[in-house]
Amino acid sequence: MSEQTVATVKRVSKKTRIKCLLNWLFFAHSCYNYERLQGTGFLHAMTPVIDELYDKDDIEGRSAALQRHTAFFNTEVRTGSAIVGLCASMEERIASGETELAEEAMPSIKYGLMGPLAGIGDTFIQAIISPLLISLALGLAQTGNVMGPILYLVVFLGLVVFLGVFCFNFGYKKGDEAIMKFIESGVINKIIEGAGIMGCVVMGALVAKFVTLKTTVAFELTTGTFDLQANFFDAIVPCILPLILTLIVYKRMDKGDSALKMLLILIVSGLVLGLIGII
Amino acid sequence: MTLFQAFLCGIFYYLNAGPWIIGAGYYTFGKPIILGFMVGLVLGDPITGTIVGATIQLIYLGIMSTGGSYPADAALAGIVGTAAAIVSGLSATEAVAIAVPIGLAGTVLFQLRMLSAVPFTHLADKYAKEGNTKMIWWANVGFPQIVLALIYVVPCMLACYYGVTAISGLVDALSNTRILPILGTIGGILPVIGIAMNMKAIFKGDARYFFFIGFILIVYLKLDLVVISALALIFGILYVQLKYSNKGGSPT
Repeated sequence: MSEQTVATVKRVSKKTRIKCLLNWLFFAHSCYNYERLQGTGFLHAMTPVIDELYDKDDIEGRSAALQRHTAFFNTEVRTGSAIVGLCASMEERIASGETELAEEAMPSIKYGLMGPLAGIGDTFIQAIISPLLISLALGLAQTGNVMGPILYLVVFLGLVVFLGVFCFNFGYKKGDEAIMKFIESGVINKIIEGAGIMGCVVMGALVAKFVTLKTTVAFELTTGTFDLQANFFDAIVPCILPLILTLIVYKRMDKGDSALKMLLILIVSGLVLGLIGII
Repeated sequence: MTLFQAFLCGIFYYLNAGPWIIGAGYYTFGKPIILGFMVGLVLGDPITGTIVGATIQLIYLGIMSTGGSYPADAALAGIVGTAAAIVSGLSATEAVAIAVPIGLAGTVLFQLRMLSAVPFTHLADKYAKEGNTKMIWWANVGFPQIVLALIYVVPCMLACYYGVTAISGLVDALSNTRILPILGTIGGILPVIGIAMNMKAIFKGDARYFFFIGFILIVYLKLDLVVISALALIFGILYVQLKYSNKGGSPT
């Protein structure tokens, strides 16, 4: 973007940008479907921007602008706000005369960024933040403390809004190169790595706290009853059976077995072992 | 359970799929830990609801839904499982074993939802071509949400109203057999799935050692989960800082 064009770019109002972001955060998945996934959600998000940039009577301009955003789209909604912000600023430039952006730059940036941002966002939110916050809430909830679910709800939604606003503004103000630079800078990877460590500590704790697997096998010996669980397993490492089972299930799933398959195996073996009285 | 209570359960289920919770319905009303509490409120026992919801939550802890995939319906499992536990007095782990098949059945509704919105996407294309921004709201929100509400509220409401009664009858019939305790045992094992699923995403490299630290902290030191999480945060920060502190040195 050259210096002269910056000065003449039409800007949309802050109110319009807020509407654009809210449309996206709320309704990105509203018309989620197999054909375009978030495509129509993206179109809806851009409507306030296009409303302000083009005259009511400029049907041609509006139509062309809207049709730039009807195609397939899919990313992580919160981190993907950066793309929505970026496209809002690009629409401003297109409406101000840089029409060449519409041809190649717009789609290539949109589709170039949605993959990396989805990768980061899904890892961060689905694999780390959500399980971690839930694990914390579980500690409270398992004893019947209703603050567990309430805290999770409040903290998670606060995070959604914060991430959405941050990413939108980043995309709107700094542009695509800054986004790529930020992705490649390693900051995000460090956060994900540190959070992964935190997650692993908590998962290890969850195994001991929430997985229950005990054997009921006992032998009658001349010296008294030998209880396999109390006298053997608990004597080596308490909770060793849940630990071993978790590692086995993890190994199988890591090798490609589906969660559904493992679920069925666990149910069937639980049933069989339970019926013959081993667990 | 009254029809109105079942209707409210249906509304919760719709909120999990609909956009109204800042677009994060899946992360809030899609999570059994929240749903257990809400269903408990409706049925007059939020404490039991919270405990059961938390237990069902464990199976779905590490679930990932990316790129339009939807491996299991934690929301329906959480709602019906909690309702069944409260109405028929099942233990939390017994409710887990009952919730699992319900969670599998729910994925059909997700597929129906993904199909049902396709026509509205084409409607949106038409409005885009006409430059009609007002009607795009209807194509993206109004119409698809009416359909979504029907697809989600009705089946869940029926599952709660009739299904919970059926489960309750079944539980009565089984009350003196060994089946219920065995279901409880199975429910005690199944959290392994949720934990292993999450490990698949984060159990990598050096982080693997920290998994065992967490295990030890609870088994031998009997620390509270909140304390362990605080320690975990410190471990994470320290690890990253130490690993990247020698400037120019390549991380191993």
